[in-house]
Amino acid sequence: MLNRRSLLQTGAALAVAGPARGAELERVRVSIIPINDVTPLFVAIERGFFRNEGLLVDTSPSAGGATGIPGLVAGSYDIAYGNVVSTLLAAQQGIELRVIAPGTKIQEARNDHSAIVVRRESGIRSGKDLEGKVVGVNTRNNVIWLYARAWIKATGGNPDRVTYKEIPHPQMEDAIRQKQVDAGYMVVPYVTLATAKPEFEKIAHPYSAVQLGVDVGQYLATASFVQSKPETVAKFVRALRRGIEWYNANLTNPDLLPIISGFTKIEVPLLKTLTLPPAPLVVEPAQMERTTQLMIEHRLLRKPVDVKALVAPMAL
Amino acid sequence: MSARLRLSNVRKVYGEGSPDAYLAFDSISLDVAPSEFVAVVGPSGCGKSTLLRIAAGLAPASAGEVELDGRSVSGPPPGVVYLFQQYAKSLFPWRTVIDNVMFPLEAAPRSERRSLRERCSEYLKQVGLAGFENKYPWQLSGGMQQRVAIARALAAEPRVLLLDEPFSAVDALTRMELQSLVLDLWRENRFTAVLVTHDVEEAVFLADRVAVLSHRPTTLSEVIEVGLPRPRDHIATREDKRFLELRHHLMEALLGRLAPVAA
Amino acid sequence: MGQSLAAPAVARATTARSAGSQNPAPRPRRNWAHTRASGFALILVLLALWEASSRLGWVQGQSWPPFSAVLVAAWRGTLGGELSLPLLSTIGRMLAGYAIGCSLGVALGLLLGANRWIRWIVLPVVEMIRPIPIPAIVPPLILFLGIDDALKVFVVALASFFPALINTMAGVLGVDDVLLQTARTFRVGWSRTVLRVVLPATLPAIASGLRVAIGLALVVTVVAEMIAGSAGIGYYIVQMQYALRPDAMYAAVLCLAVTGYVLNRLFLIGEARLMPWMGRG
Ligand SMILES: Nc1ncnc2c1ncn2[C@@H]1O[C@H](COP(=O)(O)OP(=O)(O)OP(=O)(O)O)[C@@H](O)[C@H]1O
Ligand SMILES: [Mg+2]
Repeated sequence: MLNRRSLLQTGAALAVAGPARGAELERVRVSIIPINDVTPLFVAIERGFFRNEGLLVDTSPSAGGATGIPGLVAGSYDIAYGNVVSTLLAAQQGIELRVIAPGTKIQEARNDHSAIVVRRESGIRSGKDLEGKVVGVNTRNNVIWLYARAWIKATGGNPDRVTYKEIPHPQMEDAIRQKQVDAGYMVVPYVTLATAKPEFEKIAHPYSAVQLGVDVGQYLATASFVQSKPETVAKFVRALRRGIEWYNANLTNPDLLPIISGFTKIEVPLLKTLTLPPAPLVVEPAQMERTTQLMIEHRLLRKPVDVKALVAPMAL
Repeated sequence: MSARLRLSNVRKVYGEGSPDAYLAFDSISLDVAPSEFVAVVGPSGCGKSTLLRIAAGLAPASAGEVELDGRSVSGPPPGVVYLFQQYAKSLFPWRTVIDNVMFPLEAAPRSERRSLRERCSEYLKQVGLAGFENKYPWQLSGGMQQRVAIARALAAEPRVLLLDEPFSAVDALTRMELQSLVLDLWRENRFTAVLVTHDVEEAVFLADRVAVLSHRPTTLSEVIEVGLPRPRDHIATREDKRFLELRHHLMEALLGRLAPVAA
Repeated sequence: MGQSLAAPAVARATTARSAGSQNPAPRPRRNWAHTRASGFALILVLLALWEASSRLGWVQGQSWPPFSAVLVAAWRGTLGGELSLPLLSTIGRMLAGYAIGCSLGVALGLLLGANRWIRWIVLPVVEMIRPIPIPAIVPPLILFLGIDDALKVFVVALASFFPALINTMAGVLGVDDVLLQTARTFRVGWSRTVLRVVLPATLPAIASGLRVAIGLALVVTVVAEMIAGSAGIGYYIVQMQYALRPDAMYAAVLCLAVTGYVLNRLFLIGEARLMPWMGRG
């Protein structure tokens, strides 16, 4: 897999002759989650944007996504893609992190594809209906869990009267079908596949319903890395932004699909059925503040986190 | 003639000083002449193995002294080999027959290995195991395993061979074969033999003298001169009048005044 | 004369015994083949049930492919390298950690077996660390060892260490006193006794420790790969799970099962080669 990636990179480098060609490239190790959220990063790799900045980006997918921040701290990675709740939790624990670039943001309701899914005949419609029931989330005490709770509360339910069961994303559909859970908070592409079947139904899009504009995921580095290598970070963010721009301009371009398939291993025919949401160019600290408030409300945080200090200027 | 092996007032107490100290035997004195064959008989548990281990320098005596050729014994002395009652456990299962026999000789320099190996084959031939060199002990019968143990003891070229009930675990026929074998080896190799047994006939058949250990508290109750002609033969010797007398006497000594079993 | 009495008897005894030992030999062999065959038959029935349950929709779910699809995925993945390369890298990491863990475990086990004082000091620590489940220590270990090979090799070494240690120690403690006394009566010195008697007498126990360890090592390598990093068959399994390719996922699991079986077989063959005397019983 690593071979294949570096082959692709070499291919891209040959196709796009950049100023840095032939010069020594600086290696940057990035931890990613193999989901669509990091597609702009791979666009920037494939189209040689990093190479033009003199960077060689080496990605390490972490399927569970739980090892990104520990890996950063340990020095296994220079940069990691992580979700906002993990970042804020780490910040509260005193880990000196910096948000250096935007990743995923729910800008418009129609682009919010993740959803709470139920069996059609279950009759569940609202958070109130979920009281006493079981909701599947990928991980408790994290971003999906937080917004599921927030939506339950917003629709008249008491989130403490709901049981949350950890189910990996790919197994959520089967868990709902086999009634291990009454509802499941599903993400792309699993939600798309499930809701194409008549037995399932989406009842809510918690991100956009609770907090339209929420910054779900960002790129992180340790504060010391940002301080010691500001140039590297600046180059990374510049190249990534070019990747985001290209991605946003080519959402329906079939050229995107092999790129996504390359790092997610999801087969292209399945990817064709998905609608790709645009990616943000900046991080909005105000949205992160709102997430902080929600985390306090749902007892994930004890006190507010200084978001302004957390977000590095180049992410704005 | 001075003694090859001399036990003087040997005493053994297990767990000395502790409340459950156990006196195995006391004041045992016995001289064994060079090339003599002495058998020690005694009831089970009277301390025969313990006595033999002390003679071999494998265990310390609580009091008294063991001397080999006039020198006091404190550890296993050169030239004394102890043949274990549990031969199956004393062979090295990971070694072939020939390598087991080689075991005592392995400290020798490499250059001599070849000739030593040939000598070991010779011992194996002597115990009737030619052709079994490359078998493992577990591939042999019990009697054959004991032959290996004997060949290994011979390889150490002992001046004194101490045999602890070497034939107690084999069938009667094999036992007689092994007894003849040991006698032949003894005659050819001229070592001094002390054999412990609870089999009275075996003691009389093999030995020049028989030492009798008493019931507890164990001590040496008598030493009997056998005086049967050699070479000895399983049929002729065992029918000898002297053999029967000695057998009778020793049985009485060992069994004490046990009442005959009621019909 | 005694000799002449003994010699023919030996010959007789020998032929009688070798004939006797050849008679019962084929029976266990046939039994062995028999249990083998019924074992395979059971597996075939289970696989047929798997195939039917998926094809006929007894088990509904997008993560339950028919077994034939798994076989196809395994075939493709093995030929294309998508599956075989991660598997090889997993085996490489496993063997590295296994070798380190077992060497240290055997060495310390010999020491603990030989010395009562060291045993009294070290054993309680060992017993405290031993029950900690590996998945629980991976995340904190990332902070010290990072996410790549060092972490996995360490974790596998740790998992292999304990069975090697415990079995070696028990083996040393279980060396029969008669063997040690035999070495003493032949006036064999301390170091030669350790090398020539204690060590070989302990080998079977060491071997069984190493065999327990090799099973553990494979599992632990895969678990560590599933939790951290992006290499090896463990990561591949999770990746295929998330990529909605359950056929490829089960293909990897299948390869792991085969690998485990082969490793165990190889181990037994090696054991029989190195310790031919273990053939008894
Ligand atoms: N290590 C030991 N600690 C304590 N007591 C022991 C020990 N070894 C032997 N004894 C005791 O000493 C006595 C003599 O034991 P020994 O083995 O010498 O008897 P034995 O005459 O050889 O018996 P057997 O004919 O059954 O072989 C026995 O009562 C036994 O219980
Ligand atoms: Mg005894």
